[in-house]
Amino acid sequence: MRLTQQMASALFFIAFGGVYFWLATDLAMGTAADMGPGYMPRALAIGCIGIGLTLLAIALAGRGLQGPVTGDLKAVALTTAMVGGFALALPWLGLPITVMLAVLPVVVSGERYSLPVLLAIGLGLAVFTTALFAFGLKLQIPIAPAIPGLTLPRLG
Amino acid sequence: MEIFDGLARGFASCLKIEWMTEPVFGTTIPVPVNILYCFLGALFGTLIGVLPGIGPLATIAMLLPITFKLEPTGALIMLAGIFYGAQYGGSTTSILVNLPGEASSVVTAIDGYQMARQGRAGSALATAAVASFFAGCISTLVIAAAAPPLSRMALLFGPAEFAALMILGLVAAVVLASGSIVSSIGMVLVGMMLGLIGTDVTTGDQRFTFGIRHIYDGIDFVIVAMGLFGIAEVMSNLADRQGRDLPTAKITRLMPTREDVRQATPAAVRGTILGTLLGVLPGGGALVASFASYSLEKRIARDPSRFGKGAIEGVAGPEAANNAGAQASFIPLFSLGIPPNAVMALMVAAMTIHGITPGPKFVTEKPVLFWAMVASMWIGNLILVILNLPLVGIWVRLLKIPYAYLFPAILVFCAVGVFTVNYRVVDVALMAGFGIFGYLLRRIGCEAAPLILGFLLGPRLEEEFRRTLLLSDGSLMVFIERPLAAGLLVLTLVLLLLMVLPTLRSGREAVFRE
Repeated sequence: MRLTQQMASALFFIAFGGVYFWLATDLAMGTAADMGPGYMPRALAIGCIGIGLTLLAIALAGRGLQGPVTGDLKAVALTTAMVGGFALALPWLGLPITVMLAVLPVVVSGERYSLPVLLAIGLGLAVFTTALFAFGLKLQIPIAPAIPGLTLPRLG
Repeated sequence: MEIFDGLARGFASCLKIEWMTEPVFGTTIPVPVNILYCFLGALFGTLIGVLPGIGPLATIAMLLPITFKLEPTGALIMLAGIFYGAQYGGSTTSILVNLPGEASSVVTAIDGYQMARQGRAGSALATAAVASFFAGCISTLVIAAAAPPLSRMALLFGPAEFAALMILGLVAAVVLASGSIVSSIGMVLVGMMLGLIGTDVTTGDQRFTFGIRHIYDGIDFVIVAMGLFGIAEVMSNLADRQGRDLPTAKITRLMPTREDVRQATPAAVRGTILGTLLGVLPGGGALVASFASYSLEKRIARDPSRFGKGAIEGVAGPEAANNAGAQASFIPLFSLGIPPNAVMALMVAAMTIHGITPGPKFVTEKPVLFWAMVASMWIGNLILVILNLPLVGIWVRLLKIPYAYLFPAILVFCAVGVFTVNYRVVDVALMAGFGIFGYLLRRIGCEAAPLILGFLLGPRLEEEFRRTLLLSDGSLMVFIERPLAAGLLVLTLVLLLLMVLPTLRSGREAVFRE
């Protein structure tokens, strides 16, 4: 049997609701008049599983979204790496250098680009964001790189 | 004459002049600060909103940090400017490149893009701008007239009524949106479940935090919104290379012909009325309003076959309707504190950051702020007309920026934006996680917008629900015994039942298919 979008969304809701319900069993349930922290989560999880079962029934009847489930792992990995890299680098390298580095993964993105333009954009973006956020708006973003032994990175 | 009094105060506050020392010669010059914020908001909002693949939600989320350091009035005015700019940016892209940034400008693309292909892009853009401005003027007055009495009424609401109202709002948001209703309700539930993560306000217990200190206060709304809309959008765009590089239409003349004006004016008036009426409904009518206006125009047109081939009414009507609808959705937000759609949910989050809780007390306790915001809506709309028409050429050029240069900039802005909410890099990583989650949801055909609304309203709904049942000693009968709550729940039920009826369901599908 082919995994349609309909089927996949049904399974997602059942799994999400199931795991959530299981995690909520640790929380006190309470009564309707005196709800514990686990009352609402359980109710919502049951609702979520119910939705999943409904979607499953529709899928098994051969209706609903028939498109196949496809995805582009490279696009997801590249984007995640760029954002994750930003998070890792910012406290150590400061904003301008981090931004400069953040544009480099474009090279492996498969998009059309020219290296000089890309570098210019990286530089421009670094100057612009630093000027706007750190100096203009005076937001507390680390600018200078942390120097080992002298300054500590702010990990928050 | 509460309205005129209020509006006068609002305009006075918007036109406030501050004497500032300019840095070069050190002379002091008068600066209309709030107008400046409104202008900057509208400019940046359009600038980001025009970029392909960035809807209003991502635009507002990305620009949120630039309002952090302003005082509340200025910040709110700027946010309103960003909101309108982002909305308008969406219309511009749908006309010029057939790329609607959001669902409510999908209809604009039908005839707007055809007009552009016939060399009437300027005329279509001008019509969209002027129709939106007209609709904005009217709905601003409606907000001014409706919000104060509604918020006085809302003061009579108890927890049962608020719980019922939120349920109505969530169901309406699902029913009035496009896509599968069952999975949209599921997305609301998933959003509510994610919203409950953090410390339980009543008992102080940790829920689903796994000992991670950063989420003890719950996951920040901005992180979820940016991840699901900003990051996931970039992933989708990178994955789907087709349909991105569209040839842009050439813009010739901006001024609509006399014939255009004659056809567009009544359509804009009808669109405004429809939009204002539908926009007040919980669930947010901007989307429905634009579709409804399009089908109305098509139905009453003498020659319906013109539609889809560049009929100007098909631009004027829906554009007026979606602007009126978007603006009227501020009414439930201001008076009841219930955001009717995902964009308004983000506005709530933004207002909360500035220490303002929208709701019945907002209008009565912060009248200056309320009226300043109402006045700024009008000014924002005006600025958009002045700003957009001459700058259309620039917006077109922006559309031609290759994605290779655009997406790193989008990611950087999202990352900086999320970082500056709490100054924590963990939040940036969390946003990436929500990006992956949002991408997966798209792949399985689930829309993220209902999730956002559920995420914001979930904890509040739980609180009101708990309070209601505590007062009623656990009896659900309280929802039936209190007439207002019962009425709201009956309305919710009716909405749901309507969707089960096959005739109406096919009607709804037809509207969204058109």
